[in-house]
Amino acid sequence: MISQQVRDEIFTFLVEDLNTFINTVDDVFYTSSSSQRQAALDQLTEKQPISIKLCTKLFANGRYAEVSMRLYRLAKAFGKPKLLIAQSASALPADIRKDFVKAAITQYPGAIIQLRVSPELFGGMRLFLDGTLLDETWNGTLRQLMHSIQQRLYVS
Amino acid sequence: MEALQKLGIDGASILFYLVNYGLLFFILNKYVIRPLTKKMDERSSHIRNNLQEAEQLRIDFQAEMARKASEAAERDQQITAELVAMRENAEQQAQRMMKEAERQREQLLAKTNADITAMKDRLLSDIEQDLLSRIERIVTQVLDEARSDEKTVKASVKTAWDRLKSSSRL
Repeated sequence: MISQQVRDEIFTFLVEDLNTFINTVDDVFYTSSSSQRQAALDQLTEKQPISIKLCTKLFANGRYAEVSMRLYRLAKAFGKPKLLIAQSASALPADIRKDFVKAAITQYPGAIIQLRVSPELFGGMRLFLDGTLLDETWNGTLRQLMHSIQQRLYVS
Repeated sequence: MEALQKLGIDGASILFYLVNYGLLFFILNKYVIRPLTKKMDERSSHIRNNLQEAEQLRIDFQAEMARKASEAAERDQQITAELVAMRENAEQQAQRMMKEAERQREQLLAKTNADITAMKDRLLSDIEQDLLSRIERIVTQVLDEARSDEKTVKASVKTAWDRLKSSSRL
């Protein structure tokens, strides 16, 4: 039986440290071997207790999407994480990604971040959090424009 | 007497004539004049009765005629009243029918107007939808072409991030 304090520690580590790590690490991490990935994770958990070190074993393989989903499921086992999905038309550049993760973790504590590339958005990016949508995509702008035209036509 | 004889008048003859005349008068009176007078009285009485009956009949006839005339006048009045009532009824019926026809005409007109409006709205809606889908197709095509330029897409992501960052939500 794991104590509540340990559960909280693990949850905090998952939604803060590991969440930041898997979303800001270089893409090379996801193409490297399991041992290399484990070494990087061990470095991250160097000063962490053994329970947290054990958790990182789950992230030594798999692509970003799988790792991200695994992190969310694991966080759900230890607390009540929110899911913050960021969709962009192309992969976020490293600097933007770091800025975004930093801002998201500060603004929405306890939220697991998932970055997704969706070419059907044409351009821009959008965020989903707990049913809220912040849309800055071309596709969204087009939808808004169409809706606006439809409303004007309807009113006239 | 002698004087009479001198004049040629015989007393016995006169007596005879007187008796003869008296007898004749008696016989005539008994068998002719009296029955004739009686018969004439009877006839007269009969005629008078007939005349009275005729008069009575005339009076009755006049009364009957007056009654008939009164009845006819009453009947005429009744018929006239019935005719007036029938005419009024017919006029009311005609007015009701006119009103009903007018109401039906208005209903039909309203329904036709509503149908035309609905059809117009439907047509407009179809045209709007068609227009919107055309606009969407064109814009999508333009966006699709823009998507092939990686630099443009990356720039759009950066712009979007800058906007999100400046919003109060992030």
